[in-house]
Amino acid sequence: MTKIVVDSSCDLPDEYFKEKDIKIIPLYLKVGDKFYKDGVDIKSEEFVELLKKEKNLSTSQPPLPDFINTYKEIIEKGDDIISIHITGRGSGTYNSAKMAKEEINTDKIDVLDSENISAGYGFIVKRVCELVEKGLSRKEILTKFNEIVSRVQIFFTLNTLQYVYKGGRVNDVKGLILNVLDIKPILHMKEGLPRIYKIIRGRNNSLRELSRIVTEKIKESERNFELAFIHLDAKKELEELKNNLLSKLQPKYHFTKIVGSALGVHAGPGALGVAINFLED
Amino acid sequence: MDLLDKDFLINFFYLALKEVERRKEDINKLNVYPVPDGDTGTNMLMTLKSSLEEINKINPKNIGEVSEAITKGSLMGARGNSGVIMSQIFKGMNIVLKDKEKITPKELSLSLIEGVSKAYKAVIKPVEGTILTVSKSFAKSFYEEIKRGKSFEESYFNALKETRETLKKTPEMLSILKEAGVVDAGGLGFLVFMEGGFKAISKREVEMEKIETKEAKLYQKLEFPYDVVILLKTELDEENLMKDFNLNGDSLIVGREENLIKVHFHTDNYLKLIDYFQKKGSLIKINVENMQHEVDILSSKEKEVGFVSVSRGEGFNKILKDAGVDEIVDGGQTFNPSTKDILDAIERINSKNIIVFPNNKNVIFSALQTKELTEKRVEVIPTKSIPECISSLTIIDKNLPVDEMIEEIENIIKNIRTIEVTKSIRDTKFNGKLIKKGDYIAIYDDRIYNSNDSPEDTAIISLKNLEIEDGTLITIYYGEEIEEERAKEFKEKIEKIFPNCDIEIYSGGQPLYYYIISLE
Repeated sequence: MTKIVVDSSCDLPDEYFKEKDIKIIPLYLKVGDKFYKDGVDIKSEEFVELLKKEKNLSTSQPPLPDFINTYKEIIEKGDDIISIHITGRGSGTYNSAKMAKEEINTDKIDVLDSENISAGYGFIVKRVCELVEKGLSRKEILTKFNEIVSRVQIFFTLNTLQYVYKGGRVNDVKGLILNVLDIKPILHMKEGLPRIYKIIRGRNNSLRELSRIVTEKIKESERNFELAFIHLDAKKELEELKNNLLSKLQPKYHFTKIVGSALGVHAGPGALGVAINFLED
Repeated sequence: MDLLDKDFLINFFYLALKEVERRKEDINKLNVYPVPDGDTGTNMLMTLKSSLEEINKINPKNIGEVSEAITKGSLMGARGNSGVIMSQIFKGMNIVLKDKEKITPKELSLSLIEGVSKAYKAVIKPVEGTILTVSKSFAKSFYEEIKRGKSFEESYFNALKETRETLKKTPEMLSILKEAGVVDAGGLGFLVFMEGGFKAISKREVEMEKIETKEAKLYQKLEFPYDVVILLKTELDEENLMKDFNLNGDSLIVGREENLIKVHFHTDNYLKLIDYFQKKGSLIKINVENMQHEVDILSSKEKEVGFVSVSRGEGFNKILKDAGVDEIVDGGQTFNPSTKDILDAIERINSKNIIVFPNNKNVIFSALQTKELTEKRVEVIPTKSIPECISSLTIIDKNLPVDEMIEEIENIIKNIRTIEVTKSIRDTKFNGKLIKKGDYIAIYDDRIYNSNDSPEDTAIISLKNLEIEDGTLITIYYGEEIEEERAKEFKEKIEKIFPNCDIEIYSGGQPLYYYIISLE
């Protein structure tokens, strides 16, 4: 049987991971010289508090042995693996997973780059899961993978630029470094990198714009779709956005999740977003 | 030629690790690529330490076993990108070294070639200008020197020299390094590691011409742009003079020249600085230089579009610069800039396309006249207030073609309303309404609201008369006559009246207008 392996930056409902027996390899949260396993040593509720308190918080890719051990365990049971990870252009996790595969020297593993983050990455994993259940072979899934990736979009807005600036992973944030004026950018993922989609002034304006963009994308595509609502410490605002969108849009499936720490460290409290998974006909 | 044995490699590795440990912070500081999180040195050290632990654990019997231990330890303990790459280098070296009892220097050089090639293969998209390039440079030149028949020590020493040159060239290979004004952190880490190892080969001091390890300057935006030198005549000695000095800045030097004191300081607010010293004695000479200007010129390529904005007020000028204005022309109500002032600003910008924001009805005409007077393409957006310029420039996509950009800006401006609050300087009639001299007035478009209570109340009257949708962003820019405290109280009042709006407040520093308020 084919098992799915992900890293802890993958945002899907907790029950989903359990139900589908998806193995999660935790990223590490680094506070000074100390490391904590994301989602294991630190749960998402504690994470927000830590993020607000701790100035020197960053994430780090899982070390090689974490991959090797998980992979070996699965293979020894006679299963094979599709290992899907957070965008390789934003994290070393994908690269490490590839190296771990090479260490084990096996053809029982496919390591794939989701080119996405959070719930965007989650939707890609979900689709692969569905295809595995449908009985598609690893090879068949591999050929479809690029298309699966291209069907997912994510848009999110930040309430503060402090974290994205400090984290340094949004390259074109450079143009955003304003000394005085407060702005609320809307970001998306493009070619595996977080990019600025639009710059907005005013939190309400940016939430309204986010909702407008999502609606527009869905109307344009004329496809069936699924939605994910993600936030970090912005539950109330997210609920409002969600109710507003669900009153005019009919997704086939939707879920809400607190943003995983991998994105959270860079997005900061108040981050809020929507991922769209356009379905095949 | 002596053969290199297990003790050599253990000693080499230990000394190399110690050197990385000693210069860890230097390496961290440089870290901008691929992710500027400033931990390259730390990650590399942790990777090496994991190797050292492995060596200590297995008690190796020959050089092959040392190499195996280093490889295993580094693979298991690799942290961060540079750590992962180091581990791959060791892994490649191990292909040559494993099972060996002792090795020749030539075999060591061959193993390094193998290691670098392994590292290149391990990275999905190898990028030059990184630790890969630097390690390749060492491996190659070390191997060539040995092949030429030079001694181990000489070959290694020359390879270090060559590697240092390569490291210095990394900014030419990777633009993000150049922008940040640094060499590659991982590359430096590798060099430091090899320099440390050299101590196991020779007593000779590695003539380390110091590699500049200044902190990466990611965004060429100076925190303290003004370089100020003040010459002061004062009775106070240096210590008393500086007693209550608490301004933000750096590079403070205070020196005495006979009966004068000379102060040098980098600050973001030279007015406050001057103000401080003015109270301590009599100012003889002040020299202020904006270093940001030089930095900008140095790093300025020709821009697709340049922006000129007319403005008055220190706060406004700062925000406009932030928003992307290249040149500010001093002026506003009652002090309109001349066509020449605007033209000069246009010519100063290194760009063939210029967009001008007059930000006042009375300036639009002189701005339009510049079109005839320059070779450049000049477009004037008829903005009537500074917030229109701020908002449109902040949110516009600056990569758009000029025509589309202008269209976009004009659309954005349609959605911005501006209220200006000032005082009437004479008795007058406005749309049939009598306004007395000294009345506070709030002007929006062709509507005017007056009261004789306070600028704040007048502003509120006008705001209440406008239809303000929930979720509107209300931005308050307070003028030079308004204290920060008072502006904040005003903001709180507005928040109570419009609880569903976003309220932001900034110092505009403008004269004449107590408040300029924008709604969008």
